Amino acid sequence: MMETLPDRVGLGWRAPLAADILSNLDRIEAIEVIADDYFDAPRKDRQALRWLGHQVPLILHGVSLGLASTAPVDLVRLDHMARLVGEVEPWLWSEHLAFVRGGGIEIGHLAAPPRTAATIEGTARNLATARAIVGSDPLVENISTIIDPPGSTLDEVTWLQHTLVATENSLLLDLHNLYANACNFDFDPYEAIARLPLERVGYIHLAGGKWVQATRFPGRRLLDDHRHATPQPVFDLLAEVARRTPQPLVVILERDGDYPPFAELLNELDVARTALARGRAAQKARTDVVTTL
Amino acid sequence: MSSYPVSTPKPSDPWKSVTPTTNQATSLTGDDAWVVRAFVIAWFTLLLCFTVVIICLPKTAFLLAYLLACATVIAMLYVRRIVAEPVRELTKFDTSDPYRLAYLRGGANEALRVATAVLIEARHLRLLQNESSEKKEKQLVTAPDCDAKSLPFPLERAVLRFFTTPRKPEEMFEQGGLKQQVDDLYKEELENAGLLPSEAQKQARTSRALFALIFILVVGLTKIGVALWYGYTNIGFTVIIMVVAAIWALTFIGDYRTRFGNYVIKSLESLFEGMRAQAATLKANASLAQIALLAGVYGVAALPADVFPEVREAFPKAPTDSSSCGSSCSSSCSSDGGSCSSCGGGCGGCG
Repeated sequence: MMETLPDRVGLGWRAPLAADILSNLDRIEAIEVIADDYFDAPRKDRQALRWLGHQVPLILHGVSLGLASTAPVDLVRLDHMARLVGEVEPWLWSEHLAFVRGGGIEIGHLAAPPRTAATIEGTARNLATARAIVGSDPLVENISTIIDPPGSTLDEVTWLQHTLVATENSLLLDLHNLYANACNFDFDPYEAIARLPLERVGYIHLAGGKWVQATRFPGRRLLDDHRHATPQPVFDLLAEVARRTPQPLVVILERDGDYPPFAELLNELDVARTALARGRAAQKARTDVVTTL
Repeated sequence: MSSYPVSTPKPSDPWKSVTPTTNQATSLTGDDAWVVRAFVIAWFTLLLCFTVVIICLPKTAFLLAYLLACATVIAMLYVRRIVAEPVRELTKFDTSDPYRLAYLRGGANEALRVATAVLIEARHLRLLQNESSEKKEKQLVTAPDCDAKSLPFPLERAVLRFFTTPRKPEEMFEQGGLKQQVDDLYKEELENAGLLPSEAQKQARTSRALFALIFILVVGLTKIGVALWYGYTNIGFTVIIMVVAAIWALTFIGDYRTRFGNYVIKSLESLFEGMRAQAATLKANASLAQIALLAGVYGVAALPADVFPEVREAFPKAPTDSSSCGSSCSSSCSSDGGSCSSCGGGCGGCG
């Protein structure tokens, strides 16, 4: 029987925020830890993470597996992830739908793969390997990009749809990534949300970014840098997802630098809660109308 | 859909409300008393037999046998402690009170030290120099504009009340000071949570260590006595083994926390390592809550003297903690172009 949980709103665990997070656990309902930071960590650090996971629901978030690729996933890193998941027993674990290496070269960046049938097939193969080695499925995250991946034959949403059809994984929907891509490539994020299989959304990322002037192509691009406050349009997208999804949602706010006073981050969490409540209320109102009719 | 959060199987459910379970007292009923008596009699009989056998051995063989026997006894103490003090189900622990953490780490004095340091930083306490005293001692006094009632933690309020009249910081730790109030606040709660040993556990620890100590001393001293009786004076190794093993056994009595308590403290130290590395910049950038938690987890010694001079003047001999500050790495996105730095095998990025 499935356990019914309420929506949860949480924060990415970062060392400078540790004290504030631990002193405000009554307002932080989940945390997300970068898994790669603990791949080579001593046992005591992993045990600490396990303890932390018993204070608040903990999600391990990978950044270096490079699952969305025609190249096979790095088995050594996958083994690291499997050990970490085994020791920490996180609530969930997740990775990006990105590639991080090609031809044996690490590119040091989460890059959007060419959106083709070949990368869908490669991603499905890599996710099956991940499931076999780690023992559970990661949630997979849509990523942002400031260039349209060369060689793509599909748009982003179609590629995501087909990838989810080819796998059993749930989606970690990064709403700022979706919003940034919509700004950069001029599509409607609400339409994208309507086309996504929202019943497969496991949890959601929120973040902020900044506008940068592109040098190789005209115009400016929205960069997902995790160093700015979440913009209002992203909260509106969150409300839209909450309106369209029946399942409980977990929302994680990502912040990777230029940390504001912690009260501001807590306030962002409250705004996310309000957006969720707004979406749920709209959903309920719609359901009531349908029932009445 | 296999990995939807609410359907993901968990080995255990840590989110259920956790009520601290009471430390199980190991008091004996009348039915069990005969078992203990039998155990004690058996122990002393075996000890006697072993002593007789071992002292009959030639010098080198005796040293080897004595060394092995002491090592076995110490190992048994460790095993017994693991069995008697299991790291139980990882229950929720309220981390919002830094003084609770300080108490868990170092007892009432440590909690008082951290509270005082925080109050000094908050300008609720002022450091004075007593000009009338020959040594020009430092004294603390509550700031006149401070409203103690507005402070969230009872310990802070108690410290402020204590320093209504100027006093030396050390007076807090003396008999009749604040220690009893701090014990009343935290001791029972932490004992019930299994983080500090209960009286029954302390007694059990003492009994086990004394048994070990008796063995180590009886065998060692008997052999030394016999050797001296026969005119041999080359007893140095025996003395060294005996003293080291005896001190080692005695340390089992004095452990302040349980194994579970140690686990929690080590976990917190690990989680705060990154912040500790930035302790020097905390005053400028951080909130008082961060400073309080850092001091709670690592002690006042974690606050650099050049950044927190008044705190270190008030407690020049603040105990240093034994934890090491290892390397810790958190992923962070650089501000340029969205590339990310991370450690632990390759670089990812801001998803």
